[in-house]
Amino acid sequence: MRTIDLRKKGEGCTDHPVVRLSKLLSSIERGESVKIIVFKEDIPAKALQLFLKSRGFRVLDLKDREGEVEAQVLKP
Amino acid sequence: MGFDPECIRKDFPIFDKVDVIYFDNAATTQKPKVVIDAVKEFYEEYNANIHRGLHDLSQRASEAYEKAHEVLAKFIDAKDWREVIFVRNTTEAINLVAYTWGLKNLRKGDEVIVTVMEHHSNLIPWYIVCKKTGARMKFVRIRKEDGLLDYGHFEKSLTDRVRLVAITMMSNVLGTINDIKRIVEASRKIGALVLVDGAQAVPHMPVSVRELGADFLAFSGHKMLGPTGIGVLWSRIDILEEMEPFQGGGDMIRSVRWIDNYIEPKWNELPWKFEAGTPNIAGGIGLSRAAEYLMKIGMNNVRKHEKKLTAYALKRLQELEEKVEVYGPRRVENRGGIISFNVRGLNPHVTAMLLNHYKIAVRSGFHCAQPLHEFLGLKEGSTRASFYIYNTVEEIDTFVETLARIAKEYT
Repeated sequence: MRTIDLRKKGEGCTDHPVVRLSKLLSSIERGESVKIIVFKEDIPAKALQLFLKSRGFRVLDLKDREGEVEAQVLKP
Repeated sequence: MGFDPECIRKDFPIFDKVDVIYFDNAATTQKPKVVIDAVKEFYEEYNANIHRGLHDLSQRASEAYEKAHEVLAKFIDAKDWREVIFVRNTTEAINLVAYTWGLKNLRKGDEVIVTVMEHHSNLIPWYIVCKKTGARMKFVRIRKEDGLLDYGHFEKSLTDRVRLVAITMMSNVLGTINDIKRIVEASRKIGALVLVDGAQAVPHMPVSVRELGADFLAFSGHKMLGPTGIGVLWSRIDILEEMEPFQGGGDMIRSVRWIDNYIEPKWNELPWKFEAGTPNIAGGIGLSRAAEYLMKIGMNNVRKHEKKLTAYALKRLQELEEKVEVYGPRRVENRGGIISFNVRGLNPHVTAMLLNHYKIAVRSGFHCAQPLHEFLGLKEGSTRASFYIYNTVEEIDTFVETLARIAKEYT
C-alpha cells in the first residue's frame, strides 16, 4: 500500500499538507487504497475525515494518535 | 441602473448553475453574461487579426479593439486613450515598467520605495531590476495595530536617492486603502515617480488617474468582471514616449528598413509600441464590456455596496472575537471589501477547506503577500473572504454562522 506522508512542510503556501493532499488525491486510481499520515496540528482528524469523504474516498481506518493522524483510505 | 445585488446576480450565469457563496473575488471575479457574450460574439461574428487586414472582419475587429482602449480610458478617467496599454495582467504591467523605465532610469545607489503590504507582483519585479542595476529597495512599514500604512515612516524614507515609489492602492490581504494623493504629493517634492498597483482598488471604487496624479497605474481585467489574460497599464504620454519598448515583434513597429545589410526599426505610435504581436483581442473587447457594465452600475454604488457588506461582516465577526482573529483596519472608510482572518487553533488552509465543504469559496495561504504575513507574525498565512457586487448580507450571515460552527466543531 502506498503511503502519503505529509509530515514534512515547506515554506511556501502551496506546501501545506492540505494543499499537497488535495493535489495528491487526484492521482489515486479507482480501487487503490493508500495510507495518509499528517500532523494533527496541520489537519485535525475530524477535518481530515471530512475532507477525504467530500473528495469521494472511503475511510477504512483512522488512527488519532499523539500529535499525528493516520488514515487508511480507498477510492471506490 | 439601480443597485440591487439580487438583481445583479441574475446577470451572472454561474449563479444559476452552481450553488456557492463566492467570497474569492480578490483572486478573480465571476463574469456577467454581457462579457461572456462579447467574447463569444467576437469569435462567432468578427474574429480576425487587427491592424493587418483590409477586409471587413479585420476592420471590425480593429475598431472594437481600439474602442476597448477608449472605454478603459474613460473608466479610469484618462486624458487620452493612447495612455492605455493592454497587457496580460497587473503583474505584466508592473514588469513592463520595471524592465523598461526601471532598467533605463535606475542606477547604483538609487532607491525604490515599496511597502510591506505589497503583493509579490509589486515586489519581485523591483527586486530583479534593483539587482541588475545596483539600486536598492526600501520597505515602508505598516502599523500592526490597524494595518494602516505608517505615513511617518514613508515620509522619512523619502531621500533624494528615491527614483520610484511602487505602492498598492488597496492591500489584497488587509483591504487597507492607501492615500495615494498624499503619497504622490510627497514623492513629487523629491522628484520620484509613483507606480500604483490598482489590482484591488480599480475594480471596487472610483479611480481617476487625473485626480490621483500618479505616473503609472496597473490593474487586471479578470478582477473586474472581465476575462482572464487581459489587463491595463496606464501612464502619461510623455513618460510612455520616453520609454523603450518592452517586447519586440509585430505591430509595435512602424517600419523595419533594410539598410547597409542591417535592420533599422522605428517604433509604432502609442499604445501599440507596447503591444507587440497579436494581442488578446477577445480579452480586450470583453474587458471593455465589463468596464461599461460597471460604469452603468456606477463605481460609487459599487464602493457603497461593498462598504455596507464589509461593515456588516466586521460587526458579525466581532461576535466570534474569541474564536476568530480579524486583520486590517477597523473602519470601513479605510478598507475595501477584503477580510483576512484566522480561526484560532486552525490552520487557514483547513478553515478554507472546511468552508468549501459548506459551499463557501474563500482563499487561504499568503495570498502572494508572504512578507506581509511574516511581518505580522502570521507564519501559516490567513484565510481571506472578499466581496463584490453580487454578494449579499444573507451570504455574510451564512458565512459567519458556518465559521462559528467550524470554530466550535474543529478547534
